[in-house]
Amino acid sequence: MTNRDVLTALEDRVYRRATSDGMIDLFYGLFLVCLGTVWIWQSDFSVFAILLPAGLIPIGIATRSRFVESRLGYVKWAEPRRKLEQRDWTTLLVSGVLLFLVAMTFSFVGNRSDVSTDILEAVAPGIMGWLLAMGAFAVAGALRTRRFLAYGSLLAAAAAMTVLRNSEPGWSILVCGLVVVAAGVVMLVRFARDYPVPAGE
Amino acid sequence: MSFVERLDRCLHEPARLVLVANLSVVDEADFLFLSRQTGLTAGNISFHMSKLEEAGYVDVRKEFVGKKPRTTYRLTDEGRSAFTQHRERLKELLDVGR
Repeated sequence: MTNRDVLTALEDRVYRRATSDGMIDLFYGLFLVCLGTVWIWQSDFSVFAILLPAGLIPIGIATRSRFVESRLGYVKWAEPRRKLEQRDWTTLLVSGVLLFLVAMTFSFVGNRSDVSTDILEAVAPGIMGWLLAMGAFAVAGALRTRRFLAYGSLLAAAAAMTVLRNSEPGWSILVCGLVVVAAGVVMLVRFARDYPVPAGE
Repeated sequence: MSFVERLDRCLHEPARLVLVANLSVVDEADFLFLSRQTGLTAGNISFHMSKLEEAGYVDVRKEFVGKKPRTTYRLTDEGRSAFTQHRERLKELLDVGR
């Protein structure tokens, strides 16, 4: 290992430790729970629920900086990491917009009577789950975390089950959301236990 | 000059080396963050940071965030280059020993 590799590995380790608080998992899980619940209602506006992250992200950032920084301390990452973060979050944002457009397209095509939708109808219950799985994989790429690969795989598998059983997709999204929320809560409790708020400097 | 004489004694102290290594991979970090990452106590960090500040390797900034005091540390250019040199010398020393 070269000197540069050693420092990169150290930076990576420090970064991972500073971002393993479970807050992102909790908010992603809450997004899935909200989306699943809205989907079960069967409203025409359900597709707009995918825009929920836009509302949850600012709340998540504000909550995280108060909860995490008071326990783990303040850090300003070096320029390469900040650029990488910026690039990853931009990719994630673009993925979110694409996800929304794809969901809108499916919703629009599904509602048109002049388009043959046999195949679409067969896989329709799984589409939202697969799109959400892609979203989770995008987060896994942005944060370089395996947990989100697991969440994405869970969503994809649940979506496949929904297609096979031709069941309501909202329930599988809701259940996956509850699993992710539970994982986030466990991580958050561990984090709070391992890093209590110090009395002062 | 021997290897021992060429090593930076200020940086070679284990606690200071760990602190500088952690600071070298970020732009700046506060007291609490360094304490969490290194496992060093408050007293230890204060003592070693004052040594590093005396050597001109670290910039210290004290401020209030809300009602809480915050001490932030940043490696100076001199500190960064001293750390790079120290690593290279250590590597040379270890490579010669092989």
